[in-house]
Amino acid sequence: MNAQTKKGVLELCVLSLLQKRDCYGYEISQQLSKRIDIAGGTIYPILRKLKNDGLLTTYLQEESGGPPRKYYALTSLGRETYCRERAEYLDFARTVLAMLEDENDNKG
Amino acid sequence: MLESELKKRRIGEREEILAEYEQHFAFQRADGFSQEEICARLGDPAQLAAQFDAEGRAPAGGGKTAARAGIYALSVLALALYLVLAACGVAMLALCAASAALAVCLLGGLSAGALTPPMPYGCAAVFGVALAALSVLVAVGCVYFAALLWRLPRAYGRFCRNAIAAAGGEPMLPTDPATPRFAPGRARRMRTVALVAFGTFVGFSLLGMAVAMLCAGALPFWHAWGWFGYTAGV
Repeated sequence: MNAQTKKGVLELCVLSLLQKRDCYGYEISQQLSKRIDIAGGTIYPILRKLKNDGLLTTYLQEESGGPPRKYYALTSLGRETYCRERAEYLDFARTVLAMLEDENDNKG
Repeated sequence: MLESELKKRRIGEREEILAEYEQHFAFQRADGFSQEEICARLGDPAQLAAQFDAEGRAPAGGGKTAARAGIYALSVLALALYLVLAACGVAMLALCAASAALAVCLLGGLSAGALTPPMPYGCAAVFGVALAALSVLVAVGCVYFAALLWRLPRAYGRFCRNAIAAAGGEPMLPTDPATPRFAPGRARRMRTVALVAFGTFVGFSLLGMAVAMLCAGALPFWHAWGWFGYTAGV
């Protein structure tokens, strides 16, 4: 699948994960690569962009037996953006799905 | 590899980005992957660096320098305040020692250089117990105060670190509480000792005065016994 197509959707996936609970970077990377075929490192530039856009904040949390982990959390702007873009995406995806399946029927 | 690619592109906050990838490697290694496997799954370093480049440059670090200067200025005040607090601690220690010494003199019936005013031994013993209790109370206070003095610099250090990090847009560590933390059992024991000592001090002080008034046969017993420069027997 086209990397550019994936990227916009990945942002939405990251927001969706963080909407449930705060995560550290590796956690997000694992959760996503379980379901979507992406290189493990690609998630960090996305996190950074979302942070620079003000959708995420980070904080450190000390873990027993290790360096502090950097957690990501949604800001209120991030929450708003997620809700809006989720609705838009679902709408869009439904349309695309309908179109693609429609084409299949015509061929068959 | 990634580092050199990031450097090439002059991307800000390189250390922070690299730290994130180092954690990624550490987690993957813990999950049993070899270095080569992790690299292969990570993606092409040049491409990753290009993504960071596209994702917008980090805000300038000017705020951080200003924050550091502010912290230095603040630290002068903080140090002065800390010295005052430390002096209070020394004063508390002195009060503790003095009341203990006085308690020993009164209970033992000693008159060290005629410093203790004259009174019947019964009264002296009651006052002695009160002062011993005061000494214990202040000693507990000293322990708590010492713990506070121990914690304050740490809490302040964390505060400074976070202030500078916040100015640079970096993540912050949770704040470090300045209040002393004792093991629950120890805190409870300290509280009990302090309460008992306080009660004893107040109770025996009042009892001492009552006994003194009865012994002297006068409400202002200090007049009767010629304390504070009054002539005895007035």
